[in-house]
Formats: sequence, C-alpha cells, structure tokens
Amino acid sequence: MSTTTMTQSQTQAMPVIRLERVTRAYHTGGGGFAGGHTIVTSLNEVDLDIHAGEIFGLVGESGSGKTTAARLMVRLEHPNHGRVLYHGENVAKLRGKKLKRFRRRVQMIFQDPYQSLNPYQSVQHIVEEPLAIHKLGLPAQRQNKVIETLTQVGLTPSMTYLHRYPHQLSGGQRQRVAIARALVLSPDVLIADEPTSMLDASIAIQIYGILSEVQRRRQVTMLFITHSLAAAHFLCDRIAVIYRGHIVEIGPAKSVIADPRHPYTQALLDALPRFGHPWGERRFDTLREIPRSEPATGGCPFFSRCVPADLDLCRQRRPALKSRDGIHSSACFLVE
Amino acid sequence: MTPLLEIKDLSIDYRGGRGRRTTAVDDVSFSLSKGESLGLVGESGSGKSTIGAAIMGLLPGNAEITSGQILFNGEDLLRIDAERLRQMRWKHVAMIFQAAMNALNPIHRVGDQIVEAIRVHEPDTTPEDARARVSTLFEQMGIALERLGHFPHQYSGGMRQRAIIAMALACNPQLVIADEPTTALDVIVQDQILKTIRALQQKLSIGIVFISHDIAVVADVCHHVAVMYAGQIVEIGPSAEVFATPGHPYTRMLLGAHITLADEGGKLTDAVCRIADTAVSASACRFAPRCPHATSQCTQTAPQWIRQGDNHWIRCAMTTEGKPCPPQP
Repeated sequence: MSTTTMTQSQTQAMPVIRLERVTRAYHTGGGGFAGGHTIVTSLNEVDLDIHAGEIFGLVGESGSGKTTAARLMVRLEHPNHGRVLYHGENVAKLRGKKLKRFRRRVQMIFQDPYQSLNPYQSVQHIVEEPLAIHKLGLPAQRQNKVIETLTQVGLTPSMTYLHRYPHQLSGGQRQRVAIARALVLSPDVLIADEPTSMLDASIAIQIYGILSEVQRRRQVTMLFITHSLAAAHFLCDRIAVIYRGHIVEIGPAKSVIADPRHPYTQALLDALPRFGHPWGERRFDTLREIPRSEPATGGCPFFSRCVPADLDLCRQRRPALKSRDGIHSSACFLVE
Repeated sequence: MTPLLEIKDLSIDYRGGRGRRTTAVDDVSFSLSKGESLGLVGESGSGKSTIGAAIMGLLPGNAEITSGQILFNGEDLLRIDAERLRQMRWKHVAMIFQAAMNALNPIHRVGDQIVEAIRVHEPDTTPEDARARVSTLFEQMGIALERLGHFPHQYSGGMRQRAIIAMALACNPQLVIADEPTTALDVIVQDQILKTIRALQQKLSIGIVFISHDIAVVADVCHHVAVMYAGQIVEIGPSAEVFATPGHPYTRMLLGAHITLADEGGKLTDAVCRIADTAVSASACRFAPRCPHATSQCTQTAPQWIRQGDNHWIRCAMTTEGKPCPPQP
C-alpha cells in the first residue's frame, strides 16, 4: 500500500471521484414497431467532485439519474460523453492490474439485499469470496478477516452467522452482510445506492449508524444515494440534488437544507410531511400544480414545473451551477 | 351512536406448512366514527395489512380468523353471507391499494374500468350516468378528462394512484381502507396525493383506515393512531397526543428511529433500536426482548391496557395510569 500513501500526499486536493461533463443516454426500443425509438438522457453534462473522506449524498426522485451516476462510478457502465475519474485517472481507460485494483478499491452496496446476495452461498462464502478473487491473504487467514468484518457491521457473535444462508436472515441482517462484503476488501470508496429503502425505520437507522461508524473509523469516501432529504441531511457532509439528469444544487448538507436556493430543492422541502419538520411553517411554493409546456431545447430542466421561472430566459437557456460563496452552488438564473 | 367501524377482539392466524400456525393479528380492538381517520402504524410483519384485508374480506386462503368481530354500522362482516359481503364491498367499504401496476387492469382503458366498477356494484346505473360520475371523480382528483380513454401504462405513478383512489370512491363508500397508498411514490407526488386524500375525506366525510409504516404520513393525515407491534396494538389515541407524548417504549423507539430534518448525527444510539430474533411466549409482553425498560415481570405476564389520557391507552406493565413509562435514561 506504500504507493497509495505516496499518491495521497501528492494529490491532497484531487477529488477521489470526479465526473467531468458526464452524459449518459439510453436508447429505448419502441417494441419493434416503426417510429417507437427514443433516447432518454439519464445524466446530462454532470460535473461532480467527491473528496477524500467525505460522505456525499446524491438526492433525487425516481428516474432522476442517481443510480446511473453510481453505476458509472463503479464502471458498470460507461458514459456516452465526458469522463469519470478515479484519483485523476479515467476509469474507462483502466486495464489489467490497474483495473483490478480499481475493482478492489471501489465497492458498492445495492438497494435490495434480497436480490444482491446469492441464495446458495453461506454468509462466510459471500463475504470471503472477494478476498479469494483478489487473492488477498492466505486462505487460513481469510476466515479471521471475515469474522472481523462481520463484527464491525454488528453481526455478533460472528461465528454464529458464518454458516447461515440469506434466507435465514432478516432484511437488516442481509444488508449488513452486503456491507461486510463491500468492506472486507478495505475499499477507499463505498457507494451505497438507497441501502435502506427496503428496510423498516428502526433497521434503517442502524444501517446509518454502521455506515457513519465505518466512515469515521476507516476514512472511507462514501457516496450515499437516497430519495430522502432528511436521511441525506442526517448522514452526509455534502449533498447534491439531482433533477432529470441535472445537478441543480450542491453544497454542505446543513446549508442546502437550511438555505435551499434552487426552486426544485425548495419544492422537495415543501413536500415533506410537516411532522418533525424544524421549519414547520416555512413554505416556498415553487412548484406549479399544472406544468407548463416543455421548452423545445436548451431550457432549464425545471422550467415546466417552476413557479418563479422567467418566461424568456429560463425557457431558452439552461443555467449552469454557480455559487456566491464558493461552497454552495445552484443552477438557477433567479438565484444569481 | 353506533360507530362506523368497530373491531372487537380480532385474532387472525396464518397456517404454514406442517401444521405450523403464526398469529398475525392478536386480540385487536378499535373503533372509528363516520368521517374520522385512524392510522395503523407499525413495521413490516406487525399485522397491519392483515387487518385491512380482513375488513375487506380479502384474506388469503391460509388465513383463519380465530376470534372477534368486524362490525360495520353494527353489522358483523364476518357473519354475513358471501353475496351480501360482495354487495357491501366497494359500495360501502372500498380499498386503496399501494401504487402498483397490478391494481389496474393493463388491457382496459382506465375510464372504462371505473365505469365497470360502478355498474357491477350498482346495476341500475346507466352507462351515461356512470361515465358522468367518473368524469366528476377525475376532476376532483385532478386528472385531465382526456386521460379517461388512456391505458394504465400511459399514466405516471402518481396519476395511476389518483385513478386508484377515484375507483375506490366511485360508489361513494362510507369507509375506505388505504394500504400504504403513497409508499412507492416520490415525495412530491406523495404530498399531492395526501392533500387530495385529506380534502376528499373532509368533503365527503368518509371514514379512513390508513395503513402505513411511515409515522410522519400518519401524523399528517390521521385523527387517531394505533401503533402495532407483533400483531398487537400497543398504543392507541388521538394522533397529536400520541406523537407528542408517546407512552409505550415501542412508540418511542419508532419515533426515535424516524429521521426528520431536525435530526443530526447524534441520534445514532444503538440502544433505541435493539434487534431481537428471540420468540416470545404468548403470556409476555411482545416487545420485552427489545425494550430498554423490561423487567422479569414483562417476560412473564402479558401487559394490561393502561389509560394515559381521554382516549389514549397503552399496553405496558411499566406504567401506571396517566404516567407513561419513564423516558430513556
């Protein structure tokens, strides 16, 4: 690992993960009949930096492109345009040893622990397999590593879990196994894609506890993908709000919630149930009940739903992310 | 005055393989007046959906009602014959299902499906009258009328859920069971649907049993709340009171685990949410293995109902009347 330490000191300011004008579009077949073919742009010229040791929250509704961003970062897919950089290196160009190292250092936790674990493998097998694949440690030592990792995710006494199968575990326990499988390789980036959306609240909060403990102890860089502003605010250092493939606001978690600048972020906050809302009376009323017609091309992605939109400017031009203070940015002409 | 819905001592078992039985609902009682809403909250497996299905007479084949009554306007739905129940269902008691593709038939136009629902339950209605009623419902739900002729796959998730609500309201029911009606929806759509439900409930004075795992949603929509744990109601009362002064340790745990914008990282205490997979005997408090206050008494005797306020009751042996279980040390 000596090389890692060296590069880390050399590249103090370099983000661990960087998206540079990343666009990812999918072709949807029209079922075979003529003319049904369309292109859906899932991410549109997204720029994003995730820095060493932070928990970064990507918040958006279903279909906003947040899972696509995660899949690009772990190289399950490639962008159509733009680059994904890991410690400054283009992920798409990684080959051979470097690629294998990347695969070891960047780990993902998926949403559904009922589907992400192989039902025919025991917990020991599931958590040990990554070590075997990457030829880490002697086979005899691997079990100790597995036990240590299971303990860290709160599956104790770990010995009693080794020979259990996923169907013998609850949803929360399965998600802990999935976290252990990701952690066993000592990654420096952990990407968690809605890790608690299938779980009850009392289990979800335990998973948050594990994730923040892991981050604190191991200084892992973490991307936390969620549809919940409250969860992102709770767990993350910084938040980006994504709407229809565009990052519309990004900044320190507290600042984005206390001082939201983009009308879409404001609409999301308005929509939260008032229960336990610290700003119970605060309302922005930025969301149009009946959408306007979509701008032809190039307008603001939120134009059709935005109450305060400027009918000329916002229809014709797409705002870039800009910041008044250098740390909290939003992509809205009205804020400038 | 007879309440709109009164559930008395309801217990439901599920039969498993090899003669195994699981009690999903254990001695549940509550009542609901006309125009009121009651939220059933609890985690998955607590039995809340089973109660909803039992009211609708839609329990799966391996479920068995072992005791109790479900009185709708004083008439026991468990004792009436199948034909009468079929007539009551949808006309008087309707259900809003979770926003899923399969609550609507994919090969029929949405408008036609609702017209069909009306004409099955009210055979005297002419097709024209039924269509006019569906148009009014769509207007109330905020769906454009041209959508009547579209198929479910042409609807967005939120619009489909509105159509499902329109279908539930088609025959002017007095009671609606809403089972996680906004769970699969994004927060903005959820907010719009909840507003619609609240507005319609006031306007039409429907009784609603609102089943949800999300206490914030229940707090927003419901007059009363019943908190369920492992098949039993452990706390019941006016929702403002229950959420402001929760008496049962489980209610407190649920509230503690619910993350709001007011919370910061400090909430992550392991004690609030202990896991337990140990089975509990019927003559004990179900929550005892997870409860920070449990004593040997809790594992030996089933707790009795203790009054906390006017209509606020909890089932916890560690409390005395008017005094909730002491807060977490």
